[in-house]
Amino acid sequence: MSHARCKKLFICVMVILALTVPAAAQDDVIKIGVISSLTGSVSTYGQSVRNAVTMAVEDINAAGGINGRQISLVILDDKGDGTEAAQAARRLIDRENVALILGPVITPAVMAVAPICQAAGVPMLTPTGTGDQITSVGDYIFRGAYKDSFQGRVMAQFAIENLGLKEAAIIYDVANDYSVGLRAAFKTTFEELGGKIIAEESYSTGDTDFSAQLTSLAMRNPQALFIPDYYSTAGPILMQARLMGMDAVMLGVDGWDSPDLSALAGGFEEGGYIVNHYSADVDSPATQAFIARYKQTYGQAPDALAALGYDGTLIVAKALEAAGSTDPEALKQALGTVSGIEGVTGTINMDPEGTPIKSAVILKITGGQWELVTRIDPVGR
Amino acid sequence: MAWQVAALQQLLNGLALGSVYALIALGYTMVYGIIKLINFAHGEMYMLGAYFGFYAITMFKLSLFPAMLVSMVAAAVVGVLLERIAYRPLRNSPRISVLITAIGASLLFQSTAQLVFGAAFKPFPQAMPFRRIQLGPVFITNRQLLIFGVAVVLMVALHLLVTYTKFGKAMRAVARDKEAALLMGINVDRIISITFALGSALAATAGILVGMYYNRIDPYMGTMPGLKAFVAAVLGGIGIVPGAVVGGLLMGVAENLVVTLGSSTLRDAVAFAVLIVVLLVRPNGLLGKKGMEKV
Repeated sequence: MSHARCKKLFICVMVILALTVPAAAQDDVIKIGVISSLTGSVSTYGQSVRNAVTMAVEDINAAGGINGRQISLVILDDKGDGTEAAQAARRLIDRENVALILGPVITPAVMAVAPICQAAGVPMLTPTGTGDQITSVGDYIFRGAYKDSFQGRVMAQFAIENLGLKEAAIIYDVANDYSVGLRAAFKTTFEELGGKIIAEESYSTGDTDFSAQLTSLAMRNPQALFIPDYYSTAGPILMQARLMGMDAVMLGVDGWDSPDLSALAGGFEEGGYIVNHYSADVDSPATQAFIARYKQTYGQAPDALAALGYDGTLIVAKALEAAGSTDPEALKQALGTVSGIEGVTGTINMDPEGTPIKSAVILKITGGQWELVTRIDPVGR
Repeated sequence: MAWQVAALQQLLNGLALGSVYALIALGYTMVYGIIKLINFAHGEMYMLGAYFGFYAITMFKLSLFPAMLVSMVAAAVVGVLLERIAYRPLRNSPRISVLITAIGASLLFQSTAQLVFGAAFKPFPQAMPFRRIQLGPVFITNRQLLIFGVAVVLMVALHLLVTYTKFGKAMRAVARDKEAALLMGINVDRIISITFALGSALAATAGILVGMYYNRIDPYMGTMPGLKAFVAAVLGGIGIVPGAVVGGLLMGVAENLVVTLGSSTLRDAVAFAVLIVVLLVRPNGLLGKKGMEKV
């Protein structure tokens, strides 16, 4: 080995050492894994969540971190797919040794990750997953959003009590837990309150042609149509339904909230109502400050997914602070008990079962904007 | 009464969807007729066609029909290249090797499309206003009319091409007996290339029509319609050009009527139940004759 090569090698070794030393000293950093759907059929959700989580962590780190320790994020994409989400979870737990997993975003992906986290004893909080069954997977599983049974009930109650509707039809995705759960909750409450579901049709994830189902529904001439699905499917359904001349009131869920809804619905989403986690019209200083900062950083208004992503990070931060360490047992205890967090979506109190106690809002699409119609509090959940 | 009106409306919807299946099925059937290959990457030509149309309209500001033409040409080029690169070297290999290559090509196209176009669901630019034409108790949208119109024009054109032109004659000759056609001085390679080009162009048109109709395109949109069009081709008798049209229309109508008469959950099940029944009862398809060498 020549002298020059020897020197080169020495430099290389020093560079490698320099790069690895911070890793060895990373005890000061709290590593959080994020699983989000950055691409795929629900990509706008994942991008919003990632943006908001990143922003929240920057805020927390700038304010001195958690008990003096900085947070670092490892963000992985699950494409909104359960298999990909499970692989991401394995990688975060086995290779990255994260203290906690924030995510995934949609219920089917959450249901793929939750059993893995539960088995590995790594706490997990999905900021946005609404499926009822999520938190029954185990005591390490938490969420930052309301449940679908609450959401479905709120919409049914609003349809009957505020809109004065008596008959409704439902079209839902028989292959998606989220859609199936919402349909059940809506139907139960709607019928309990004296309404009648006059027709129901279903389709499968990935379908693009809804004309057969919608024709069947249109023949029954329902007053309202409940479409519990994500924007990427609700959009085309809305367009096809209106083109068929269906003039029913369109009722939706938090899944409709996306900047892409309008393009996918061809503008036919106008006049529809949804249940959502937050409204930009709420006057709270925390909410308005968040909206202003988000717009400034990402150049677009935050949707509910962004708001939930931010709040989910706040819940996790508060729990980490309360636990005083990243010990999974202490962290789990803290996640189930933190309360009084002033979040973007309101004041958050976690219940031991793993779901925050929060209110929901009803929004109406007017002139392409979501307008706050009413706020419904979780009574007798 | 309401029941009959619903059935009639579903029939119209079914014919629109069926025309799409028919356009895709034509490609399957022509390629099978000529080189006995089930081109499983054919559904991807439909997907690519939709994306080519999407970019032609959004990036190059073309209107609908020029965009359709651009997309047809682009998809035809992809189809020809696919045959050149992936299938031609295997022409004398066992048929199973080519079939597996076709499945591989399909996955390659899907993943590449995801990489290049992005995995997000894209709304298709609605390059024409929304209209609904009332026909007594039922109605038809201008998009459905567009699908019928384009499909009928293309099918008639294809029929004339295959029946009355020299190329059509050569194509039928290659389908009947490749070696004999070669001995008669027909450039078999060129005929096969043109067949792929035609099939891909038809599928690409179907992709654009569906984009307009349903307003959503994604890299995996070709899988299900591809499979259903394949069933349609088998239903009509694979290798028989009019069979693909009949099969496609029947499939579309059957799927839609199932929703009215039965349950919407059974929609896809019916499509594939049709395949099983046809294979059991009439393995050569509706228009196929027993023991006939298919054209």
